[in-house]
Amino acid sequence: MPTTKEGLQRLLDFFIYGMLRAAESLGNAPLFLRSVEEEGLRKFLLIDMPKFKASANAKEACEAYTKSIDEGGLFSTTDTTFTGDEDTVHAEIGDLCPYRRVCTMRHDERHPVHCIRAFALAEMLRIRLDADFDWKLERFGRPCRITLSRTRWG
Amino acid sequence: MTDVWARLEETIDELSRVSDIKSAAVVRRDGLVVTHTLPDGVDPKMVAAMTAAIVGTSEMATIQLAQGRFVRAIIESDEGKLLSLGAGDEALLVALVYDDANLGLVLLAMERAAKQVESILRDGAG
Repeated sequence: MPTTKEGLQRLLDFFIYGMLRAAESLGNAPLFLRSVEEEGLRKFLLIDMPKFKASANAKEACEAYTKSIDEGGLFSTTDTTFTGDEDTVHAEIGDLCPYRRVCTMRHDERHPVHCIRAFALAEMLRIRLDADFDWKLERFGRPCRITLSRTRWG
Repeated sequence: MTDVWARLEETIDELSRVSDIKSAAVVRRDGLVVTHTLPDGVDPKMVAAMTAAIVGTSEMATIQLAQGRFVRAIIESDEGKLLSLGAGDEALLVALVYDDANLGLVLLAMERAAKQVESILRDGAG
C-alpha cells in the first residue's frame, strides 16, 4: 500500500492518466471509460454497496449513490451537489474530487477532459434505472458542472 | 418510445431488408446499443462495444498512417462480412452481410442509412 495519502493519490493519478492516454492512442477513450465504469459498478454496486437503494428519480439516485460512495470511504463527496429532477440532473463537483488532478493535467495539456464522475453517474443510472443518460461537462473548473439528461433515443 | 428511437428503428429495419444484409444495428460511439436486428444468440451489447472499438481504432490508424479521412471498416471472415461506418458525430452503423454479398449495393444502402441516422439524430437534438 502507498505509505501516505499523497502517495495513494499519485498512484491513482499515474494509472488514470496512463490509461486515458493509452485508450486515446487506441482510438476510443469514452468507450474504454464507460466499459470500465460499467464493469466496476456491476461488481461493486451489487456486492460492496448493498445498502445503496436508487430511486426512480435520477436526481435522488445520484444523491443516494454519491452518499454511499462517501460512506463507503472511497472519497469525500461533501462538496458534490445535485439539482434537477427525474429526467435531468445538474451536478456541481468541488475540489475534493479524486480525479481533479488528472483532469487538470489533461486540461493544461489541451487534451479532452473526460469526467470520470460523470461516466460513473451515467452508468449507475443505466444499471439501476435501466435508462440511458447522456452527460455533458458544462464547465471544467471550481466547481466542475455536469449535466446528465435522458437520452433522446432511449 | 421516443420519436427519434422509432425513426431509427424504421431506418435499421429498412436496411436489414436489403437482400445481402443479414442484420444491422445503430450503436453509439461509446459502445451502447441504440437499435438492432441482430439474430438471437448474438449479444447486441458485445457487438456495439466491439464496433465502437473497431471504428475508433481504425480511425486512429488512418490518422497515424496519414491516409486522410476514415471511411469504413470491413472485416471479412469465412461466413460473412462485418461492415461499420460512422453515422454522424454520435453514432455508428454496423451491418452483418453474407460472404458472397454484392458489396457495392450493400455499401450504397449503408451510406444512405448512415445519412438518415445522422439526420434523425440532428433533428432530435434540436
